Amino acid sequence: MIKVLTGNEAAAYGALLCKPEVVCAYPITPQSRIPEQIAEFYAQGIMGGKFVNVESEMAALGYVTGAALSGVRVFTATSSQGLAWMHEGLHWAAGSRLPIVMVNVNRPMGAPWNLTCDQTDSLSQRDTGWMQFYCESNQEIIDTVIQAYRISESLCIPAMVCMDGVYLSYLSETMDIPEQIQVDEYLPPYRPEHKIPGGGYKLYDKSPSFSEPLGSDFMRDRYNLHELESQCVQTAVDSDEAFFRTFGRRYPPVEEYKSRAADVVVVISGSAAGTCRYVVDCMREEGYSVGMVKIRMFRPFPKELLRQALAGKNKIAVIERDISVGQCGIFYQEIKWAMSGFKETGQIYGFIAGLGGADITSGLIRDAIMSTINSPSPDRDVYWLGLDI
Amino acid sequence: MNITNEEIKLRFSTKEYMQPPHGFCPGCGVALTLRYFLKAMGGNVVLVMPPGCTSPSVLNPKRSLVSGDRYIDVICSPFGSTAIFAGGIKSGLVARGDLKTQVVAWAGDGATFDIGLSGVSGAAERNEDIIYVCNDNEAYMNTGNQRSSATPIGATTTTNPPPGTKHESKKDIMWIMMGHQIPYAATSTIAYPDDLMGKVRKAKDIKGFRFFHFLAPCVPGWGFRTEQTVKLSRFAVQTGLFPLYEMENGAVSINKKRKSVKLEEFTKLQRRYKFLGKEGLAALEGFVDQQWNRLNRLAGTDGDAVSS
Amino acid sequence: MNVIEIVFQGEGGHGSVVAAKLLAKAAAKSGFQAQSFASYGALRRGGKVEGYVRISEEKIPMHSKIYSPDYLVIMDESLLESACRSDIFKENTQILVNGREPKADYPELKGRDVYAVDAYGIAKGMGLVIPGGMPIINTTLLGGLVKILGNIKIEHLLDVIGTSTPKPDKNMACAKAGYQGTNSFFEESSDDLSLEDHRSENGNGSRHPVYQTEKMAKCHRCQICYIVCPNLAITVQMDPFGFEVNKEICTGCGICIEECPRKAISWEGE
Repeated sequence: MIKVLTGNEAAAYGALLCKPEVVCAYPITPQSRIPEQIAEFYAQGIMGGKFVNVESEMAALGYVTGAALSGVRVFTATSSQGLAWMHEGLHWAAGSRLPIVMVNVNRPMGAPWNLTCDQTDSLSQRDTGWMQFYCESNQEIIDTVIQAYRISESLCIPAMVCMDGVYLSYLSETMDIPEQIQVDEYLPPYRPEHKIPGGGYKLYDKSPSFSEPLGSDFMRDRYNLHELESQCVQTAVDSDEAFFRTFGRRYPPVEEYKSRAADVVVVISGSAAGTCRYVVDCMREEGYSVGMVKIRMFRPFPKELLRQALAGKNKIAVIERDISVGQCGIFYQEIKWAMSGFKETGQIYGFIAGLGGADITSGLIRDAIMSTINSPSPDRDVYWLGLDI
Repeated sequence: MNITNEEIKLRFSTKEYMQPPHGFCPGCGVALTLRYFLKAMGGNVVLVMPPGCTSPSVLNPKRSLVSGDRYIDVICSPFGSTAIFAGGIKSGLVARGDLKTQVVAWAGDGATFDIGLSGVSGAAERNEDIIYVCNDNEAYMNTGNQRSSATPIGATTTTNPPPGTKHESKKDIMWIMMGHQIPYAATSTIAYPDDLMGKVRKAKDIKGFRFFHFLAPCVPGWGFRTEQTVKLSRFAVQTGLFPLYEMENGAVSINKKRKSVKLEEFTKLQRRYKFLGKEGLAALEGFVDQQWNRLNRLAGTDGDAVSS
Repeated sequence: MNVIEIVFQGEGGHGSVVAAKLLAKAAAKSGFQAQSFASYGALRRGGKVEGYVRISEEKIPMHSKIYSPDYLVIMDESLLESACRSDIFKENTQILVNGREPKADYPELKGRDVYAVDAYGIAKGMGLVIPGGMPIINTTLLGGLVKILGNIKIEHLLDVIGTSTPKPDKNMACAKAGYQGTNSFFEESSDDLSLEDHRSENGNGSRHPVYQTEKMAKCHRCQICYIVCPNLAITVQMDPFGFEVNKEICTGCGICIEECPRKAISWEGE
């Protein structure tokens, strides 16, 4: 069914279609429309299960963690400060092997206050063990929520679906809402073997007895989780394949857009990837040998897929909407790590753009590409885009 | 005196849910509280616990909470999240069709009065169908006796060590909880096992958020001889420091008179009150008076009377 | 580099961690570089606790635990059996035990330098006991260890104890007595220390309540003893009616004795 929806509404529809039993979310700009829309679904009687208003984001995650421990499908959503408020709980959920799906609307971390767009919030949580997906469009948001449940429940690792604040959360796009019957076919009901009471609290053969507060075999448990996470990328690929068969749309963890034979490739993520797609098309028509590689799955990082996508490219321009202050861009850092030692790696340029909601315009992307083409080699880790310095 | 077997009526049932050995300190007040609670509650529970004295003690050296031939589930939560987890677990159980299993948040004073207070308040405001137990030993005992907002005025802990003492009065957690629309809240302590177990049995059949505040003397933390645990719990009530009362749907009733046992009889037995001094004792007495004034107003009673 | 490694092996309540700290401070006073830290088992009473000390003339770079010490201090003789493992002993590992005489054969100890001191007896004799707990034995053992080590001056240990412990005079006296009273483990002890049961009256399991037949006449079957036991060590027998104490589980806290309204229970041996 075709509808024109904002990113927030797309997320809410995604949750509706996946039929979680317990939904708990705390409002925060620019995410508030998500719990509001879901509350409306409940009020209208079209959503089953239970929707709970809680006193904080820490409570929102804690509540769905409790429900997930009982063995039911759950949903929550937040943004920036709220995500940070959940930090302890994020580690806890991953360590507990719970298939929680959370939508995060990317908004800058204060101080100072900024209620718009930047990805430092979720990227700051990259060590928690959660899978992370970055969406380019509202269609991708609803589709990713659905995919996330399938991937997450097959491995019992929590998943974060990220969308840019303002640029997707408040932006309306035409999109195709999947039919419930299709979603039911793609996403079977969640019936875990582990549950309390009586099912015991040993979740899986390889998981810890997480009720032992002193972590009797902590290192082995982390090893087990690490090994399990190594299956995430392939599971995402397989789930995407199945998604394509059911819905006719696909989202590879790393997407190569006209980059096969390109000399210069932009690596980018989120809503700006859409703008970049447009710039690539324009510049190719002008005769430039450019392409785009979009990173959609950031955690676990799809290292092999990225290496394949960037192999043989002369120059790689990473444009990102975040910064690890004092260091460099986080995508840049991960890409340098992924390509390190790979014999076919080109030169990597790191551009920071769009912090605090600054617009990543086609002009800015073009500037980045041109300066990459025109410079013999990168002479610094951070090139600032759109800033008068 | 010869009593025949037929004449013996067992005052207490011999059904137990704690299977020793457990890891609680010798003479531990929390151990007794948990023992009584489970005797009254039965084994059809899931316990949710923050970091504190109980979880390591019932999971090491072995799991010691059992019901028949299975272990009672103990779920560990982060420090401030116990009430939150408990509500979520209950919702999940109900969503799965399990309406029988009760979810009990078993937390200490640190997790309840301090870091988890917003979680407890939120759960109470939502009237989550759980039992929340605060077993109060009046400091962060498991980590070595650091103060909490449940530590009484005039007591010493490692974070307000002698010659200083705590300057702030104990928070009135029951007062805070009664400020929420919950069906049941009650205090009790181990020196009154019938009172404690009776209240738990009552709460078991009530739906909605039920809150317990149990005082649990701590041997190494308060600094007293191990055999005095129950005696100190009794003195706490008899001095008026820890009144026994309950609130049912807004109506408050006092269960035990404030007998006139002097505060010094209680404080002199504990190392933590060694630096109380005259001023500290006066402050503690002031606290007790203020608490009883408030309680009497709520209960509609005078002086030290027991509600009819 | 020449680093001396020392392990204090004990359980919660023995003071292994403080012993390690005090020894390191004393070593520093004697002009050495020193390091002390600890390793814990379950964070409850009775959990295993090891105190580690490294002493050297040069700066000590390593920060891992000590697995094969040069000196092993056993804080309680009951731990000797589990500690006697040839895989932890170096060729010249010397052992100091808090105990009086060997009660069993320890083949791993043959040919080794093993010393003993009755730290419980000394501490109790000095009145150095935690109310509601055990005698404080670590300073006595430190005195004995300093004697065996030979490189740290006893005056420096006493200085450190005098300024770092809550009952300095008693602790220093214990350290001195430990220094003097440490002998080979296999010798007959010639010290005229009290042979009285050195364990505390409270809470460490060596004393248990009993229901004596004469006193049982006072019992009116109220079951209070049964209900007040935090360890569920007392069970009710129905036929014939009586109470039984499980000595393996009883920690000797004494609540049952205190709470019995008829004083029908007493300590074993009284």
